[in-house]
Amino acid sequence: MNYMSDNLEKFINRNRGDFDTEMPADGTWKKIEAALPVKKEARKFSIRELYKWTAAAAFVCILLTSVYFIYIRRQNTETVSTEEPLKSPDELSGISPEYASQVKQAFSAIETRQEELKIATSEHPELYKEFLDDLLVLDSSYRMLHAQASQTPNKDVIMKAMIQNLQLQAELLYRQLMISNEFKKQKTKRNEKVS
Amino acid sequence: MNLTTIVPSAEILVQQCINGDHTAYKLLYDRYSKAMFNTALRMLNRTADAEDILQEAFTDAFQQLENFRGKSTFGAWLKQIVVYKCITHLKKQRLLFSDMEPDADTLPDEPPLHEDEIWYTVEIIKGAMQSLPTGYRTVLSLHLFEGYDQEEVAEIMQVTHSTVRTQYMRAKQKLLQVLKQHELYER
Repeated sequence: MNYMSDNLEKFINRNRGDFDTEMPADGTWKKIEAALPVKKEARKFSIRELYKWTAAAAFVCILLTSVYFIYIRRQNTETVSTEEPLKSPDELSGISPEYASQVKQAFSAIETRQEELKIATSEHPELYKEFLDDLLVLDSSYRMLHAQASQTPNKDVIMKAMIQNLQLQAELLYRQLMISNEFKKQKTKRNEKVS
Repeated sequence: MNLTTIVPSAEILVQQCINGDHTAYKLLYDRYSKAMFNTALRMLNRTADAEDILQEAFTDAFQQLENFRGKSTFGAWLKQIVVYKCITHLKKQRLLFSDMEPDADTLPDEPPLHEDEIWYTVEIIKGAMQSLPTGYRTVLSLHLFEGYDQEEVAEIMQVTHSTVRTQYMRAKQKLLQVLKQHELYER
């Protein structure tokens, strides 16, 4: 074929693919493969991860209850009030102002994450329900501590436990959010593959 | 079934690699190794060197996949790694600048050749490229074959834009001379 009238640049541009004719040796891939980054386990949404967190939440719940029985109850002989505590930072400040800001902070973190989680799991109500159940375990333990806070002379210990409980709730919510994001991502990926 | 099922985009493969899917690495290699190898081979002119660069480039790219944030296409990013490695290799061997000095290769007295006077094919151009001095071959490879504009070539080769412009003109004349010689010889 004669390309006499062709401009060299245009000619190369037009036939660019035809210039790539050589193939690398077969062994090249083997050498690259040997140096591949260490395989990271693909992170998959798993019910097991959820159980792990449920177990952790349950453990903390038991631990806090034990602390309550061993230390607090011993000092406080009065009967436990069964009044329903209100979960409000304003009411708490009346009990112990020094912890009010910490509690307030934890509350706002929990609220934000709860909202985020609600949106994230809007398409999977069954997932949201599971998450909510886990959270209720921690929350009931918080309510029990709160009921004690107004009556026990050792407020410090109980306030610390309460704050810790709230932080755990926030942490649990964060993990749940991560799980639901991962869940959504994998679902989208699966849909991409299917479509 | 759409196309993405059969041919996932490079960006999807990159994400799969990051997620730990080892088969995605091989798919990326299969897709890009030939083009990258030929790019390296044109610049280095030696099969063994081109294979070494290919191996190094893929290894580095795979190690740094997390740094590839889709600023360009994966192919363009990978090619940049290959090209820079080739330049470093040529510099190490002091091959790059030996023939890039302004006076190293004066233009011949005869009037410049016009490309539309010469007959050539893909094969003939390939052969002619291989016969060129390294500096000329590099400038032509980067600008003519890899599609970098002259300013990008200047940055890659770490020379001034005007050097690239002059060297490119000379390199192209040299290439045309070789093609012309080939034409005369063939006739």
